[in-house]
Amino acid sequence: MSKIFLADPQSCDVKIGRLLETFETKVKAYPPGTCPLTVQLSLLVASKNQTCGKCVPCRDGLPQLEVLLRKVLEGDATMEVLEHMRSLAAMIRDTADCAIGYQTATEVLDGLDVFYEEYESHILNHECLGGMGQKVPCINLCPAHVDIPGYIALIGEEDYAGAVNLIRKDNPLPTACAMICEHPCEQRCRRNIIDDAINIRGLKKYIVDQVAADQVAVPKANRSTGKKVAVIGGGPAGMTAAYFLGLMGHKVTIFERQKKLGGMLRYGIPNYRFPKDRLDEDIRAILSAGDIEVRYEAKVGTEIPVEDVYEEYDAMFVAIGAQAGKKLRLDGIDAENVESAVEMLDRIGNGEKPDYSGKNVVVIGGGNVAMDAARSAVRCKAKEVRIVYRRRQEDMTALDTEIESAVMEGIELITLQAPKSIEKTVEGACSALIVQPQMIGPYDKAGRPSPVDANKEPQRIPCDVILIAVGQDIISRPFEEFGMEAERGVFKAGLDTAVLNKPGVFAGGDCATAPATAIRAIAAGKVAAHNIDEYLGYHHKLYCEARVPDPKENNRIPTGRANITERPAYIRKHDFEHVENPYTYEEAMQEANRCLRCDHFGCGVLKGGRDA
Amino acid sequence: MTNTIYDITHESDVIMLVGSNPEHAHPVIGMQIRQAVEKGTKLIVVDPREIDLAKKADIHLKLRPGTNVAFANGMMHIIIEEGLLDEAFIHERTENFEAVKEAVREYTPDKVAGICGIDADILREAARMYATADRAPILYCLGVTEHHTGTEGVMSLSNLAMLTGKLGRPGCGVNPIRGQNNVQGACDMGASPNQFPGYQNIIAPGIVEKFEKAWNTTLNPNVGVKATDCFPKMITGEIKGLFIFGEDPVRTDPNTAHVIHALKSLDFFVIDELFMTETAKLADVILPGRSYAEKEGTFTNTERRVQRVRKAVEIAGETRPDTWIFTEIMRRMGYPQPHLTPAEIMEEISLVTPSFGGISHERLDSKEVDGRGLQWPCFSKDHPGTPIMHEGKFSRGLGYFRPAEYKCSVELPDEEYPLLLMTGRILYHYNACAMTDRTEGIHQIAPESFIEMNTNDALKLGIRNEEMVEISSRRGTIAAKAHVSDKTREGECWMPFHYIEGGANWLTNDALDGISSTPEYKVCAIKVQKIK
Amino acid sequence: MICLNIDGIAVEAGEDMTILEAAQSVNIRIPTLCYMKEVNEIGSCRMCVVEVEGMNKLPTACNTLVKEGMHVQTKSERVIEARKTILNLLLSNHHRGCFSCPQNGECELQELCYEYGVEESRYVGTRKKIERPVKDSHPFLCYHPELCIHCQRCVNTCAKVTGRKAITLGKTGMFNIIEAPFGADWDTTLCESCGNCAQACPTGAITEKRKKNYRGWETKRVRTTCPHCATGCQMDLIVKDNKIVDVEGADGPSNHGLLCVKGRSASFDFIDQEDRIRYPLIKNKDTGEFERATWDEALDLVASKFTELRENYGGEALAGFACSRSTNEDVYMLQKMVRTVFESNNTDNCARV
Repeated sequence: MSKIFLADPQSCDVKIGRLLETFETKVKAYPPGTCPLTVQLSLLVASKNQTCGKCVPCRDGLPQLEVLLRKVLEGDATMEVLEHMRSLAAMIRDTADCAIGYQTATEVLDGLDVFYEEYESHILNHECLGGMGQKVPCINLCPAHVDIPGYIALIGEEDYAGAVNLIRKDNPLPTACAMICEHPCEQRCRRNIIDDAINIRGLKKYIVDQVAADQVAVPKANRSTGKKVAVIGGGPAGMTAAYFLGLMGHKVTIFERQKKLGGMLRYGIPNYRFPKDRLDEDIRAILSAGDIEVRYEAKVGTEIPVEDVYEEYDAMFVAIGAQAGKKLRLDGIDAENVESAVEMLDRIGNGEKPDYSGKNVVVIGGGNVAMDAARSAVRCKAKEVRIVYRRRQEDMTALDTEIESAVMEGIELITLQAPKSIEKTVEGACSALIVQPQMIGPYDKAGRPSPVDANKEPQRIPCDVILIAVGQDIISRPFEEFGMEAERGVFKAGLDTAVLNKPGVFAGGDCATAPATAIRAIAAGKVAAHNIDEYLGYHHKLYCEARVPDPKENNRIPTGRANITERPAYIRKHDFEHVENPYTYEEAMQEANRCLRCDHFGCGVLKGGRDA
Repeated sequence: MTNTIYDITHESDVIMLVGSNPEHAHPVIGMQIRQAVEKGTKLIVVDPREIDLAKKADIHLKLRPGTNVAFANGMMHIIIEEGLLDEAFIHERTENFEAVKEAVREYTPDKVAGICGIDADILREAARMYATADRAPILYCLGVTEHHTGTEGVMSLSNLAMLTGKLGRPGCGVNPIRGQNNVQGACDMGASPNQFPGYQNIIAPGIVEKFEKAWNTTLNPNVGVKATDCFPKMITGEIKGLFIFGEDPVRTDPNTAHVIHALKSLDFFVIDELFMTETAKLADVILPGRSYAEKEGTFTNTERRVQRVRKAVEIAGETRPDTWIFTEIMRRMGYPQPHLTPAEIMEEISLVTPSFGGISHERLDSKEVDGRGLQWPCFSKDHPGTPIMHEGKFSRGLGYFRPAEYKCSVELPDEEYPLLLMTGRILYHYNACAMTDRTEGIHQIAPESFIEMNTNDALKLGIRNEEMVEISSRRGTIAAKAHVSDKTREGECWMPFHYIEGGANWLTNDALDGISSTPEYKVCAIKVQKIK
Repeated sequence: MICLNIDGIAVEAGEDMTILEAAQSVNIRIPTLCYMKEVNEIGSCRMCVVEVEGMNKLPTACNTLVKEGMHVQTKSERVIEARKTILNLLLSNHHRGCFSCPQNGECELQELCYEYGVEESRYVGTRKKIERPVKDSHPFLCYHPELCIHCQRCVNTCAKVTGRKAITLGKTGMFNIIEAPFGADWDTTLCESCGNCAQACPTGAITEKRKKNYRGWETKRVRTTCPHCATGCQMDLIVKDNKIVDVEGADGPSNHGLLCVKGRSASFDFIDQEDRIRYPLIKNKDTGEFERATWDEALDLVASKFTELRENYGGEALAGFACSRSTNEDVYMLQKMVRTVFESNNTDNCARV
């Protein structure tokens, strides 16, 4: 007779596991624009259902919280109900035995604070606060609100030029975004409910791989308005603003510090991620939009006074980016071969490839720039490349795919080690990085766990080159002196990009947000262009010729997401050529066919559903 | 019991349970054994049946019924052979060890395994587990005593405990779990043909004189006849008058037909009873006595603990306290016994019974005792009682090793009666059911008699589970429902003895233990047939 | 020794003592509902929460060990409010038909609600809609789910104390529930009908069915020893109007509050049964029938017949057997009777049978 048994693969817990994965997809695909109180209710119901039933506060208290919250949502509550919720939740938080009870109560209490106005609105006006209402997830979450379902549908029709046009209605850098966009649009893709998010960036890349952006004519520009607009900085924000302002008929002058346009797209992102000839396709198209002049190697703030520009132009858009590598205060930081990663990437962008043959390179940092620097170092023939980071791998801000690619290319991640000092040879060359081992600790205010010194001896990591990638600074001083307010170097601008107290001055992109993504910079350029137009006294509308095809029936068959493959690491790591392989026609069509066309089905046809 | 229920169930490392099914017969002890096992105490069950505790046991030795002596001798053989004995204890505290050592020499594991029908290796494991445990009590019950070699069975278990020094300490001892609520007290109080209260032997010098003085009378100095030996003497006419106080031998004694014949042979038969029992029906006079809830008094439990019984109710009618009845008979037969309250009677008991010297109702009700009773021996008013016997010294001085030899049961299965029958108790009834029978719910739960049979035997006889069958022995024939399972081994059956319909004692053998005259309830030969 | 402060009183407690035990040692009462020492220390009801300086939560006194320097408040406003809310929550799912509840007057929930002034729950019970039938097919025991507060005293009594594990935790939807084995299939369960669960139940959820025949306040208790086996369990006879209506286990040295089915349910019905013999009876030799007699008639007959036999055949022709179920005092007097007036040592008891 058997006494003990292995877990039954048919057991409920195993089956529940699958159901829970489905449950996760519901959370993943929670539509933007949902009332926070209904999300709170979903959370409460999910938590309540996890009770084991042992203790009274959780077993019988959480369901009563749900009753009260439902009252609020049903418009059947008074303000006393809020106080009741608060006291009941506090009791559960204080007396529940396990996290199922007390954490749930804590979440309700937090929600009562964070969404207080929302609660109030529901109780007093029986409705959500303004701005609520479901929206198409991808369009809404794209900072530039590109019509994603539209261009995916155009792919289905093989109308790639139409697709480029439709993208350019909101974003004049389709190629850049095809290559390096962080695609927030995919985050809550409704397709998650069925299988997985649509590979939106992959599809966009397919478009520009079929037809280069500069082969699709931009819309005809308006008649000249005679107004002059200065755009300081030729990165994604500046170029986007220039493009739209150009189409509106304004005369645009881009002041570019470097020899070429592109900003971080050219001088920060290495060629293997975004080939520069492909960037040129976007730039050529942008420069064909209306009257745009570029003044290269024009350094506003140093060689050209900001005031002069301000005086000369009717409006000014400051988009200078965050170009300076942050410094670390370490003993020995002045050693030879210790360099900011941004500077190193900048040099490569300018065609000066360093030769790291036979050298050990250490990169300090955990963001995308650290990955770019490390992977570039590999391509500069370094013997060994290591990334030193003071938190854990899961705390790195770099995209998971970037980290994965770096590891595949032979880069070692040394985590939970904080740089302590740099060891120098007598000649003053760097010979090692001394690090202090860390342990991960409590979460900080921003919601990330902070590292603290571990009770371990410092360690020595021998190296010949150290690249520091711990963030970037904005060279804001000249502009601050000019009168633009900034906080820690970040310009203060409204959500409309207008700079307070400086009429006609607008700011956007990294310099107004701190280092962020290309698509956010593009969004800022778009917003700035429209608001400058308003500022100048116009209400220009831009028309797009591409027509969005009628939707087909949803494809409900669960189908895997087609990922973009890369060239094998053993080959690609020896060159700066693009690492990604193109989609096949079949991959692109299958992927496009998975799109659920939320712009048409569901909330998409409601007023505000396709908001821009 | 040498020890207390608490220490053997809470302070032991291994419990060895021999011929005892406490889950049914002593449920609250059974519960505490289950608690102990749950908390990690090891359990050795020595029992012919697959009782529930056997499933929880580390080792179950499913002995052939009636082979306890061989089993115990086998255990001792292994313990001596493997040097697991407590030589210091044997040397300092006992005598006559050599005789036992000699006696168990031939009880090799293989031989014992053959007699008992068990595996020699498992017997070895049991011997090691018991001997090497620091604290291990032996608990036994009627499965040991209700054989014609019952006394030898008990002696060999005592030898086993002495051999391993497991006496006189908490969590050890040799612990008979006595059957009825006050069976211990009844023995203590001298309802015994050869002993006055407190086991004061009639033939011991000065004892008769002591009681003659205490009771101010002359007493018969001859040892009397044991109850079980009385029945044949009733048939032969040597015993002509009988007074029974609350017993129902027709139901509880073996060989029911023989008992009825004996009682009918009496000249005069008086019974003091609560109900018209099968035995009472045969009486000439019935005197209405009182139940435990209608009088004051004391019971002595299996731990030798004297505890109070208190009057809760009075019923309508003319019942009288039993002590009043006995006093009246004494007075009317010429002995000037004054009427005493139970408390006064206990005072008298304490005066004539050294081991009860310090026990009184007043003390039992006192704050000092706090409802925990007093365990005899309790020699004086300031004696705290004796939870554990033989601490430091045996009552007789040195512990005496008394060798015992295995003898097979008197009536073994043969061609005519091919099955062996054991009897016992079930949870829901008590003995003749005089009390339990009168609760409706008990009837619902355990309404009728049954016979447990082995699956293979049932198969051979074409008997299905729950079928009524006819069961006969050389002494009688009854019918009962068959419970077919593998609880008993092939060739062995088991029945409860509580029921009047299908009562097992119509079948049991009245062969008696050579020393204690306890009947061999546990083994007789029967045949089972389908009812046509 | 650990020194702590409870409600401003300095308390010395043992290292393995809980806050509850430390409080009890200085006569500070902390209310409990689910707690049974060493049996149910799961802290499910949370009634015993207290405030401890330096702790965010309100810990349960029943299963939180004392610590050096602890400052405990057992009656702070926060604590009282939490307890009231707990009672409100419990009451919301509790069927409040106290009038018809067998436990009325002895219910611990009722008691605590009274103490904390909770008369009506401010909540509508969220589990009330889960319909669960009363389980009352068992001959002695029944389970009313809507009176159950899921404290698990019964479950752990059955598992840890009786060691039987007949009452288990079941599940319905998101809740653990009590699977009491008293439904239609009661006779196939592990239940031994001992009723220790009913004695452990703080409400009227599990009761002995007979409990509905009396109210606690109408009865008196008589502490006695169980009349069945030789374990010597201590128990209280519950007496109403000169009639035993129930039995409860008492904390005796051999039973620690436990009883078995016989002690609890089969030790009193027989006492005042119709067929008790209530008068002396003498058998009419002619008819063979028993006839009622006076005590004098019966005792004179007995005395004269035994005297006659003794005179004619000697004391050894007489015998008297005692009952090993009767009291020590009875047995002593019986053997004294046999030895003094039967002039015989033919006395014995049923120890052998």
